[in-house]
Amino acid sequence: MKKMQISNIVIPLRLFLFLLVSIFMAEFLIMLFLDYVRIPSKLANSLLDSTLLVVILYPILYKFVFRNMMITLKGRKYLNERLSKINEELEAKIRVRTSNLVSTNQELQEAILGCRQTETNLEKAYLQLKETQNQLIQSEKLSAIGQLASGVAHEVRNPLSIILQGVEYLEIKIPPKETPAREALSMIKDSVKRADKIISLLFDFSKAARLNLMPEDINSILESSINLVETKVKFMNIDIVKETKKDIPKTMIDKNRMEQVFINLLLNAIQAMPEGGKVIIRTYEKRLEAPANRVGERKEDYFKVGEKAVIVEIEDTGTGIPEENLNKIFDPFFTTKGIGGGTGLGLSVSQSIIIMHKGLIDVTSQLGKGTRITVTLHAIE
Amino acid sequence: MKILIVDDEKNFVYFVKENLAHRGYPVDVAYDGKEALELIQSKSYDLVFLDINMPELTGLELAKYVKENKIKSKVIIVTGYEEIKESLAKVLGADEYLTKPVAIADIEKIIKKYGG
Repeated sequence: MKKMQISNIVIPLRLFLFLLVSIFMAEFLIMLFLDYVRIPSKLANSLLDSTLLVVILYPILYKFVFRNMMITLKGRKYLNERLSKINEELEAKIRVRTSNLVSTNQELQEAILGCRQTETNLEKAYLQLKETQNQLIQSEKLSAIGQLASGVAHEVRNPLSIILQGVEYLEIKIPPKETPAREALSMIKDSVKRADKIISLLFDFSKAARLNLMPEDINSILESSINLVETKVKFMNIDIVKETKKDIPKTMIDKNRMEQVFINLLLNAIQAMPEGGKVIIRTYEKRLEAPANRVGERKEDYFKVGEKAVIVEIEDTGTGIPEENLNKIFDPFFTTKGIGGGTGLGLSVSQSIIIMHKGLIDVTSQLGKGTRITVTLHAIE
Repeated sequence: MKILIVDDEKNFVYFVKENLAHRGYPVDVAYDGKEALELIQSKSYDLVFLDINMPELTGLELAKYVKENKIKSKVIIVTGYEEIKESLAKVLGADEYLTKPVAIADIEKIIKKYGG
């Protein structure tokens, strides 16, 4: 290592000494030569001296200064060009990498969006599953009640028959002037009728399987249901507003069963408005769009996406249903009407009839503002 | 008009008999299917009111017997089973049906319908 360093210095040093000696020799010879020529003028002597010095120094200056300078400049230029070329190449590479990064980034973002979508879909599916589970539990409950009802009804109706016949026997035996006793008898008779009505409603569950399906116009069924309840609202300060759409498609339904549903819903609406108010009855047709509860391609779905449906809405401006009761209102025997006010079977029977038609019944309610029941049925296309 | 009331609920039969007698319709009674069959065979009734669930012979079997043997009695099924209404009663040859609990007025209506 040391040797190499020494030899690196020695060569230029020798060269440098050689140059000095050469210049010294040349100048020395020139000076001798000038003395020899003996030029009288001081000016001419100086000119000649300078010219000869330039002639001697020219090749040395050219070889060791100018040429090296040129080489250095050329080298610098070449290096600059090369550098900018490399720069460009680098920039191009960076551009490619950057665009790759951008597209990868985009892909990633799309993937994130996809993940989010999947997440919401999953959430939706979960909610639907829960809903289906609830409905399954509900229909299990209904069929159990149906079986029970049919068994119990016969056993209960026999003693009811005896009571009724017994009361009618006593009506013969107790003279009309015995007013309190006669009143007691009519109270017993009323109770028998009430008990029998409950049994009839229970029977509606067990009769679930039998439907007499015909193409029917929902508006005319609503009309006859309204006629039946209209007498009830005559003195009640209740307006019945019809917003029914004419010429909607017919639906395959059991007319009597559906009438029973609408009467139930109308009576509920009326009972929710003790201070009076408005019952709005709406019908319209609608294509079912996004998959929703019971709308989709699954086996257990009632409606297909894109299917045409007939919608019936019955809306009241009544007291509304508290949120904690909303998911109970279709439960058999759930009632808020108090003893003697209701059996708690009306809505539950209505729901089972709608389910039998593979239709939907939904409720939305706002406390103090009112309740809306929406029934969705298959349209005949 | 000859009327037979058949039901294994003795109290029910007792009250119906009393109530119809008060309205001017004397009736015979039976408390099971076998007893009823003997009465139907020996006397020709115009109307037979039958319960369904009875020991020995059920009301439906009796109704079938009446129709198959071309006995002229009209058969009225009286039952707590509501489904009977639309299907079984008619298929098995009952002429009328009544759903329990029956009021005496309902029974009288049917008696009058058949000329009582």
